Amino acid sequence: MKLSLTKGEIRRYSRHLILKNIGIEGQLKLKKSNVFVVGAGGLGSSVLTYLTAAGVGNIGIADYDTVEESNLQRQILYDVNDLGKSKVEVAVKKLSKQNPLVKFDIYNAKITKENALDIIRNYDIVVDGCDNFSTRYLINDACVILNKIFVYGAIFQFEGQVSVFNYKNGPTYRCLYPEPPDPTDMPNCSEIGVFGAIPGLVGTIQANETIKIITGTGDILSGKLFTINALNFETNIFNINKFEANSNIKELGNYDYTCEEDSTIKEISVVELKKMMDNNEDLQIIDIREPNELIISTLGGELIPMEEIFNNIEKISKAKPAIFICRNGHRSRFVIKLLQENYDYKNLFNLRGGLNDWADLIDKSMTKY
Amino acid sequence: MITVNNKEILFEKSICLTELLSKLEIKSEKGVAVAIHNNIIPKHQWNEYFIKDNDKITVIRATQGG
Repeated sequence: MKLSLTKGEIRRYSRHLILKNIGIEGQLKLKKSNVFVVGAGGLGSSVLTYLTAAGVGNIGIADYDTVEESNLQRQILYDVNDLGKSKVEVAVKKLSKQNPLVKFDIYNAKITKENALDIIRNYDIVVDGCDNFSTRYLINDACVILNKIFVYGAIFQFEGQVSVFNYKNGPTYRCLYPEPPDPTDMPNCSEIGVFGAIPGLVGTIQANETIKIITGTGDILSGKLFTINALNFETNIFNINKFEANSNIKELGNYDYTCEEDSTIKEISVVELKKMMDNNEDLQIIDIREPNELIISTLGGELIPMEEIFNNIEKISKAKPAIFICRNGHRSRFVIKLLQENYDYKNLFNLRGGLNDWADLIDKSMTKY
Repeated sequence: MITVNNKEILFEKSICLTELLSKLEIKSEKGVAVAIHNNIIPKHQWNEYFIKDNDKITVIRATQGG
């Protein structure tokens, strides 16, 4: 059956149709295309919005998160009525209103070694909107195995990166970064913050590349890494060399890059800390967050921001229990690990769940963030 | 003079990229890409590439946000 455009499609996509490089042929290619978007967060919101509007025929969306209030600062698919709801369900509902002609496949699940190949097999292009290294390496490898194009995007605070991998036998993610950073070097958005418009900017560039690939328009960002810094508007395009071995992946490997639980790190719960404080026990509280976080919530104690810790060793007691706190207990745990590796401390405790646990279980008037 | 991420550094002698990274106290080589001018030097060539005066070096980090 020869695919053609309906009258409605001609009206909707008319600005594409009159564009020299797209035309009816390009729009038909979009209509026929299958794109899988991994992650419906910051990048995903902007990628999905533009792919849907452009008339990609079939879009798969995977995400297993629910909408949280702190997502609304940048994840433009969601609003206050969506809090607590499944991201993929809400996303498809909204995107279908934007363009009812698009068919969506919903994967309300984590992409794992077990399901990656079966899902990705059904699509031509995979767009990266995930927020962790494990998933990125997994989808890179799955794309190599299945010979699919991988439109990569990643952000960090005020910076973004985009590239197109595995395009016509071009370089892959592993040609750029052969292996992920050590788990202790891996801050994510919830730990270190992200400038709200950055995922929008980067996701739009990913959508742009995806549409170019489908319609065969322009030069594709294959073998090149685009970087942008929103603070000074420095942009770069770097050439990436292809390393043949990275295209010879035959099966998926191990993608568990998360921190191993380090049993040498002692933890206490907020309930235990409350009891110790009520009993006036001799202890030291060390808050390792940034000064601007203190305005939101505090338990008092000594403020030593994470980066300053090694310059302030003399402030950390060796004589009494030193309780390290942060927003949710992740950064404080990392700081204890560093201190125990480099100094002879035996009295350090991590506050499990951090101030957010305190807000949930001890002091409901405290603001969570 | 060389530049590393736009910061000027006095060019002393030609050392390889691996040595430069350790001089810059970039602790872990994992998750890091290095470009000379606009070309990313594959990691397996870091021992073979010796920096030259006027090299514009960019250290790029793998990031995971999304």
